[in-house]
Amino acid sequence: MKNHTKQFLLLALAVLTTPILSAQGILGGHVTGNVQIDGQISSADSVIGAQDVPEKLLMNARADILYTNGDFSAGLRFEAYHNPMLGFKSQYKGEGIANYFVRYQGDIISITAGNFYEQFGSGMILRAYEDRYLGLDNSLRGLNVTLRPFNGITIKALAGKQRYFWNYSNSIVRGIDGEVNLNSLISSMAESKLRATLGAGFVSKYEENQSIYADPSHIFNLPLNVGSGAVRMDLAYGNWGLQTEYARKGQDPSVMNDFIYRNGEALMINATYSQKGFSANIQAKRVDNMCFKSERTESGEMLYINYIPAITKQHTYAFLSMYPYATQTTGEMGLQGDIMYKIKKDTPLGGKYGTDIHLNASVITAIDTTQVPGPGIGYQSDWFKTGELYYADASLEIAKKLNKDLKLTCTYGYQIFNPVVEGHPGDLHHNHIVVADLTWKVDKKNVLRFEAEWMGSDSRFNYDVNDKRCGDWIMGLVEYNFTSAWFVSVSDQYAYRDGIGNYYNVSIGYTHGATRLQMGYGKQREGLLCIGGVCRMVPASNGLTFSLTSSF
Amino acid sequence: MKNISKIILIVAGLLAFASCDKIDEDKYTIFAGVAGDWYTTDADIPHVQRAFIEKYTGVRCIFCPKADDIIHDACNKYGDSVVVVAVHSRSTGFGRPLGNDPSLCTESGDEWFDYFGIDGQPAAMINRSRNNNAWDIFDPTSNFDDRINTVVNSKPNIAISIQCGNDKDSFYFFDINLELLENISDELTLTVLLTEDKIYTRQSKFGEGEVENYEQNHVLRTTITNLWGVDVPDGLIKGDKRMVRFYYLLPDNFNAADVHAVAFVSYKGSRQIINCAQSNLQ
Repeated sequence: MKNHTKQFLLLALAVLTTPILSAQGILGGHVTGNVQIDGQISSADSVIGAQDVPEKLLMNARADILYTNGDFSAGLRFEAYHNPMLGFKSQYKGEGIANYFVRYQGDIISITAGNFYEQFGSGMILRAYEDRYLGLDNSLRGLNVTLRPFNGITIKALAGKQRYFWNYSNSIVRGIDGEVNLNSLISSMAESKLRATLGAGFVSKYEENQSIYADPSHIFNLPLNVGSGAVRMDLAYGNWGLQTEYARKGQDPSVMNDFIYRNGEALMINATYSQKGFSANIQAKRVDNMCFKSERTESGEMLYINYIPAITKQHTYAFLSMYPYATQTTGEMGLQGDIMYKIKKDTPLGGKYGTDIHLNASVITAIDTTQVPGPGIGYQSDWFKTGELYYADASLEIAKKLNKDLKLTCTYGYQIFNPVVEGHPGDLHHNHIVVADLTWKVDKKNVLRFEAEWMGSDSRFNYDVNDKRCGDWIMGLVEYNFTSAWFVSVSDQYAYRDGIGNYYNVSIGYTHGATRLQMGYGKQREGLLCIGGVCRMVPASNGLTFSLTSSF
Repeated sequence: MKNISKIILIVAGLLAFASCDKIDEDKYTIFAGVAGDWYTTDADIPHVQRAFIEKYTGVRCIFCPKADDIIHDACNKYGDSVVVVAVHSRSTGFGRPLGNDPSLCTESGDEWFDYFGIDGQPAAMINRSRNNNAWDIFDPTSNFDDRINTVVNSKPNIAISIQCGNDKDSFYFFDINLELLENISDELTLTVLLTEDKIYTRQSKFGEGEVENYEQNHVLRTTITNLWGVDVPDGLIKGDKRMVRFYYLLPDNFNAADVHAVAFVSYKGSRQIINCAQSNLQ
């Protein structure tokens, strides 16, 4: 850490003094940033499975500082984990400058040296990103160059090493991506109703050889360079839109795919239609052995080079999101349809304010596989044949403003969940969920919100599997926002039949300008937290949490 | 800018597309065990019974070329079902080189020659079988298809295969796979050796005297294991598969393109061969 700090200070000094020497003046620049401190005090609770925390207090903190001066910018992020909060990897323990960079951003060329985030297309071959709530940071440290030689053409080239907690992976990631916007490039298409963007990218990783035993007398003959390429197309015509991307990956035996030498591939298609008051969207994808990590022995959520977009709805209500779907990068097929319709106001169904209807359905299955024994391609797969059901979700949400102060949102959801996607066998869970959400605008500065949820499930809790989501649940929440600055909420989730646990929570928060302080006390059920199909396990906790965020 | 962009695109594209390795299907794994140690394997081993034709010969043996012709015909007829080793041995003087030719004799060959009590050349055995408590040694100058048929048409008790390769220039490895097709209670040994074709020497030949540039084939060049073999693990039962690897640095005077690796399994007590296999070195 100390070396990194020293390196950065030297780098920052060089950047900051350059404008002075060139008489541009440092005073022309400005500094922005944000700070976030999250803390947790948790004690043992044998019913929900919460463990005692020896440190009593756990804390994650970070501060992002960005200095900008014309086309130049430089930034750093300080992170401290004393010690990491529950659910965050213990390897984060410690503090230091986790991220630093300097950047020149011109009209034709942009150069970033240091840590950077980048994405090619939808991310199926490269997505270096960060999600603090997942404890995920796949930033690359190296050099990232973006060229815009002509209007409508963007070329990106990069090389670097991925962040791995406080270190960096032992591999090198190289990539190049090109994107052409035909409407900008070809003058005759500038005013065309057809909007078209084409793109292609290639990413390769180099990783040193390792002795990994296939059996007691043989090691795998590992490819040191693994390549992955993709082509994509984004078309829009009037109200219609079509985005598609196809990616392939070379042989990449790893712990994630049981060291098979099968090539990977993924196809993603997204078609949309929208007009005032109505939109429809259908997505389809097929993923086969597309887990692409910068280290072949990494099995956790770290060191993903690519990202397979999720096509299941990201629910916000507690019971609808109790069984989130984790993208199966080793193989899955899926389909999602989404329709939003607004019934016009002053109609029998729309009433005085209109009614919003949101219908969503998705289904994800395994791909068909026929195992091929021995070290090799692993399996054969029929492209159009599906395997076992992983996940299905259908939900109907109706939101209606009852009068100028009351808004009611009712949701019904039905989900089928296969526990095999979380790595343990078991019967399918079939869940019915009903949510009623009533918001009462008491006056201009006071809002009261009531939420009631029910979930009926055929899953039954047993101590062998210890899945604490099982059973039938009921939940109530009352939230009061007052004076536009304070809020307080009380909620309780209770497994009233064939389940286990009573999870109550009390929260209070205060917002002043760009600063927000929030405290909560209660019980947190163990489970998966998923964002965009990428998940982390959150263990049970029982106690106090607090969070302070501020930006300047 | 235009040119810079083109150059960057071309260079980056070339680098990117060159940055992808492809491992051939037969090279997904590399042996990493200890040479001479036995390991379980799931290798596919052909259930074939082969005949190990062991011909005792010498460059001074005038009837040996006749035996070579008979054996050559047998090889053509039986193909992979026969494995031939020409043991040049000096004990009777038939193996002594002619002129300045290098000796084709080996210590292993001489020892076998003495052990089996060969008293004239050419002489041959198939699978070192016995007849009335004596080694079944016969004169191979006339057709012996009946003997070969008896062996190759029998049901194998053990399956054997051998694969060769070289990790570095002349450093070759030999992977031998065994599968027990029947329960065998006797102790077993495995012998691995090298033979070489197309060695040209003088050769005494009946009616022609000393012939120049006579093509010697199947010549025993060396034994990789002890000449009586290494022990096969005890306690194997029907269906068990085992593999073992040996390494050998090929001397400069061996022509790798004409060298064959031969492996055979024999009973440790009786020395009789149960089955054998052969593979080209390259």
